Amino acid sequence: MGNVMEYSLRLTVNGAEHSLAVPAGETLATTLRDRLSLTGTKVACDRGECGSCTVLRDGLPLLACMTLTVCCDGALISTVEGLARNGDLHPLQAAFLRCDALQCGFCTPGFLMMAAALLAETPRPDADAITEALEGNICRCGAYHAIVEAIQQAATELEQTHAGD
Amino acid sequence: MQATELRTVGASAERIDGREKLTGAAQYTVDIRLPGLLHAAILRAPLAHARIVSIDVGRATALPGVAAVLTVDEMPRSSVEGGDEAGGEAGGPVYALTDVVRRVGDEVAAVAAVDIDPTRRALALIDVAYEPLPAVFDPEQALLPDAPQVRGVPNLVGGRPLLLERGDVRRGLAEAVAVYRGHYETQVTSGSPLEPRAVVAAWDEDGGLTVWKASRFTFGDRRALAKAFGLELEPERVRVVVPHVGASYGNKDESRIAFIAAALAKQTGRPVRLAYTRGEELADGRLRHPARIDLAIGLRADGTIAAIEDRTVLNTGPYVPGTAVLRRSAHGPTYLYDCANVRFEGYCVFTNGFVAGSYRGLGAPQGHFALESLIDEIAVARGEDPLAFRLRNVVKPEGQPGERYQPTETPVPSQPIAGGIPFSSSGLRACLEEGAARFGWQQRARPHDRLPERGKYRGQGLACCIYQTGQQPSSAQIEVGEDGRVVLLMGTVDVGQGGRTVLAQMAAEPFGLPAGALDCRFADTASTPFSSGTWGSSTTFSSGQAAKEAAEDAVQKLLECASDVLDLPGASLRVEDGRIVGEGVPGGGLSFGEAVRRAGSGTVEGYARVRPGSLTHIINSFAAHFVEVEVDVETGLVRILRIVAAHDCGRVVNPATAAGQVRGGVTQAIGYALFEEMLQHPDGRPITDSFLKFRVPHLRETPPIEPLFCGDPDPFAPYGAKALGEPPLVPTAAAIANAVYDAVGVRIRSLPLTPARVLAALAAAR
Repeated sequence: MGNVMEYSLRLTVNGAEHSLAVPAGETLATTLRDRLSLTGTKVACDRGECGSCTVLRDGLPLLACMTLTVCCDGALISTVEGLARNGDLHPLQAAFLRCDALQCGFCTPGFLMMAAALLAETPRPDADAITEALEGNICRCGAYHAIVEAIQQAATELEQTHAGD
Repeated sequence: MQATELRTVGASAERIDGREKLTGAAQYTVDIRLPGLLHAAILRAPLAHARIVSIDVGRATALPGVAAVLTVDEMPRSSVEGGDEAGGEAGGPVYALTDVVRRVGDEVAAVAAVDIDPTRRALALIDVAYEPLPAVFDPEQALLPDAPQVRGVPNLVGGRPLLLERGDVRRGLAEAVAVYRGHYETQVTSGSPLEPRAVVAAWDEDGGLTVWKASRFTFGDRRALAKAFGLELEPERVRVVVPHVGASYGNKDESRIAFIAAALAKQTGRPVRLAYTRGEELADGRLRHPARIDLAIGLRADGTIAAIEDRTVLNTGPYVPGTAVLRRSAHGPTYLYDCANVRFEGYCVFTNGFVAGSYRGLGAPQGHFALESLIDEIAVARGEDPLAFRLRNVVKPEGQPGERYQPTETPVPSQPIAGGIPFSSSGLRACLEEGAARFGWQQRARPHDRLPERGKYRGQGLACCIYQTGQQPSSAQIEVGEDGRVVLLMGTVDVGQGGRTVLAQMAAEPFGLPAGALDCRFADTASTPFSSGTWGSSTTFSSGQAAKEAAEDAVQKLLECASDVLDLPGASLRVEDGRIVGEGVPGGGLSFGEAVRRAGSGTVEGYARVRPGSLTHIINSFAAHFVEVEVDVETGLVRILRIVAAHDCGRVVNPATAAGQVRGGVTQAIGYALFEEMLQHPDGRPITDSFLKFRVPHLRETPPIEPLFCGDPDPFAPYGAKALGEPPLVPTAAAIANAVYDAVGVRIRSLPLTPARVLAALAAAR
């Protein structure tokens, strides 16, 4: 205590800039949840086996429970709290709600962020691409097929939105 | 109420908490932030059976940042067993921290510190001296007279087997022209909800305790905590609040963590959070009982069933006696098939193994795996299509043969053994027939004459089930204020299954409102009325009855207000689309708010307290699952291609959430059937303490699952809605095993159906 070395760094989380001093061993999940009060990111296994803590760093998905915050200096981090804009659900969130692609909701933020990363990379993913992208995410309530359906619906909607840009 | 009048019940309302959960706003127990919060963790025993000779906490207590270290000596002398439905028929009290170790992982000491890192460092500094005792892990060995005693009493829970009998099984077996027998074994599995068990406890200056907990039974936790901390006479000074629950599956029944957190909070004067790790949730959670089942079925010459005899041994580990689980394992064998002579002899046995508890389906998946495997074998042996055999022999709507001997002035239990009692409704035949039609069931009756040497083979299998509709006490309160808002207050817990949404629909219906129009508050002992726990597939039926009756009560009172303020006869008034309308009502009707305001009574309240059930009928749910598999005879891998899951849950309140329940239960059943297994070293240390070692189904292993609802509205159920929570997990494993037989010609009588088991069965058969 007290003599733990802390490192100064900057993080941009959901568009907001933060200057932080964190111990070397602190994970990004802890920083988000305990320092920034962004508790939407869930820790279910704390060892990279379930995908619940998935967030985006510079647009790419990563496991926040397996990532040290000191490795994220200067990064743009996106969490589930940043998906909705001005109270309007993101098309993925709206599709999850419509398709009832959740039950207890504990894995849901991780699935949403993984799906957001997938759609950024592959705007019209087929079923195989979705299965591959979601291989590391566990939903014990078994909402898998509704999640796939929701991602496909959101992909269609996002494509139409972009076509109208 | 006529079916055609229903508008909210029966429609796929969005989850009323969906938006919160999708935006990250939903608070689960570990998300609660309080000033000065301490982080707690538990020191667990490394031995399966031992007496603690000494504990030295000096070095741990001295560590900077540590606020308290507790052992058994500082814990309330109040047993943690008996506070839940499990009952207290075990051997003596069990304390939240113990000085007698009965399994690897038993709770020996607890630490609270300013952060989780010093907490964990402190655990390593506690010095414990153990005196090892002989341990027993096998339930049959534990039943031998000279076996080590796990609880200081003989290891058979209750001291004698559970006997359930109808007719005369010996005479039935003697009548039979053929008796078929099988020995079946099922494994330990974990419900492993994504949210590990967690609790936050805080004492206020006046000596009141608030506990936030991922619990399935707020009022049970309150009772147990009040008793432990000397507040038995003022239980209202203990407040138990359940935030969002990252799923329970009937499984979050651990009361030790609330005791430990509350004791640490009391000692330190600061709020304390105690949360399990994933490893703890798996190895120290509450697991599915492994079963050993010997089943005999006697057949008459006409192909009807003369007798069914079942001997079941469940390994319950050292705690949570599990007699409810044992009883549930008998439901299928004693009641699914029309049979005058049945006998179930069940043994629930203490060992030093994993702690088994309640998990979705209790013992029913085990019992149905044995029953539906042997039924399939009998059909094939007779040269009869397994679907046709079942249609001929399943229990009829009028019930089992025999005389009802239960008293007629109390409700019929949801799982009787006596005959002579009809079902309130039965869609069992409909599930079999409509499920088969949707699946495209191909009649078959051929025994296998050839064991394939290489390649992949497809097969189809089916199995059906019977399951209770949970009859539990519950209550609901409705308040309609001057602003016209309808507020629903219920003590029941939504454990992630969608209870909030379904109950809001059932309460909204009499108001002519959509579910989302209600303000709903659940599971807070300070503000919501009593409910039993979220277990036994009781929420829709039991709490739904309370929600419906409270809403009807409030509507009646609103109409009385309107009758007064409008000076119109009450009989001419009714509620439609959230307004009071009728002949003589001016304009487009009277709003609820206006009726309450003008009546001047402040708030209109509706209330209902129910103990639902029927004096005359058994209220049960039914299902039939149809599975197509592909078996690779070179690798032994079983791949499931598709499943049709036909269910009779009476009226479906919410088709979307009902489909989710079915798909979810079937997905867990696939893991149960094919690969999930909790394993221990021979000395009791857990092996499967992570999701890498305890594999649960991922998307890749989840085939298309088609839910099909085949029930009629039940005359004794609220809006006709029966149970659906647990049945989806019950028949699937047997259906998969039967499909494997159809594909490659081997019967595998042990779960899970791993590649190694499939290859071994093929090798043995060749």
